[in-house]
Amino acid sequence: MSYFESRMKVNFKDLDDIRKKLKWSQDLGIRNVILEPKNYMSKIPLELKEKIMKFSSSNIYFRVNLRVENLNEFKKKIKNHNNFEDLLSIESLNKDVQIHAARDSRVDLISFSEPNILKSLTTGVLSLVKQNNSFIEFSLHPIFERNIHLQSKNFRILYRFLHMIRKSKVNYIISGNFSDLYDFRHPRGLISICHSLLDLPINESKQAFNEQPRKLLERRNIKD
Amino acid sequence: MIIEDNFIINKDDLLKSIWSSIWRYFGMKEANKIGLWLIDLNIEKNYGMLRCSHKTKETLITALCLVSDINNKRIILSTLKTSGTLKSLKKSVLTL
Repeated sequence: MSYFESRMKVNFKDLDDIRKKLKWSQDLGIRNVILEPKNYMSKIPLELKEKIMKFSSSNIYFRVNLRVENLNEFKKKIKNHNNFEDLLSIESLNKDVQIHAARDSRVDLISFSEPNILKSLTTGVLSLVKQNNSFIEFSLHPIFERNIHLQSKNFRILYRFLHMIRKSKVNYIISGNFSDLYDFRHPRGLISICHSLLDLPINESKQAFNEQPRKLLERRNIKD
Repeated sequence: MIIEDNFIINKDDLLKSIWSSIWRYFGMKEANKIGLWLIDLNIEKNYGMLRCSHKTKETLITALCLVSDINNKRIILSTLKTSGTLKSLKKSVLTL
């Protein structure tokens, strides 16, 4: 069974960085990777995608993340993504943006990767995400925090909101979202963390790293 | 096993850091159930073989995953294969 690393931030202007990270993830045995440009790109050129796909034998997919501050910025940026062919995610602290993103069918994924953003998640957003059949994203990078106090705080925040999402039966994926090469972990290890430290049933943790990302990709294909 | 600067680790340091990870994240309640045993450590090929109780498999994988450094050298401990018996595990190790 092959699992997904659903968020790997790379610098699309530095092909060596991409090659290095893909080689590293291949050495770790990660077979499916979703790459995200570190700096915002409204569209990833096809030639660049083809070039990147040659770097590794893993299955490579692409996503673009819109990090927006307010509603006006969101409305302005989302216009560039009509008929978008890759995955589109939104990351924002602003609740209005989260609600609009949850209603917008162009948005595949609402990302709650940082603890402060995760704290802003409400049941209203979850309900809209469920109606629109889109996805919520969590990341496990905050639990690799060196500071033990911050780490336990991050565990608590993740635990709280993960179980809130489970209760509302919304589609969700869990990504690593690591930036340092030595923080990278195989999704199987992350599944164990979700199971034993975040009290997620093992089959549900596996789904968050396997079936759900596949569903997310299928959703985009159906839309196209 | 991926280690920074190809640093050579020994069995004692590896076990010590795995145990400290188990203690840090699970405490004594889980630590006494694990029955951890380092069967083999191949430094050349960068892999090791651990034995544990089957009920604590996920605990051990978590503890391994959360080990981030040994002797101030960054390290990634990742599971390659889990098996119910050492015999079949040794067979699959031969293919590495």
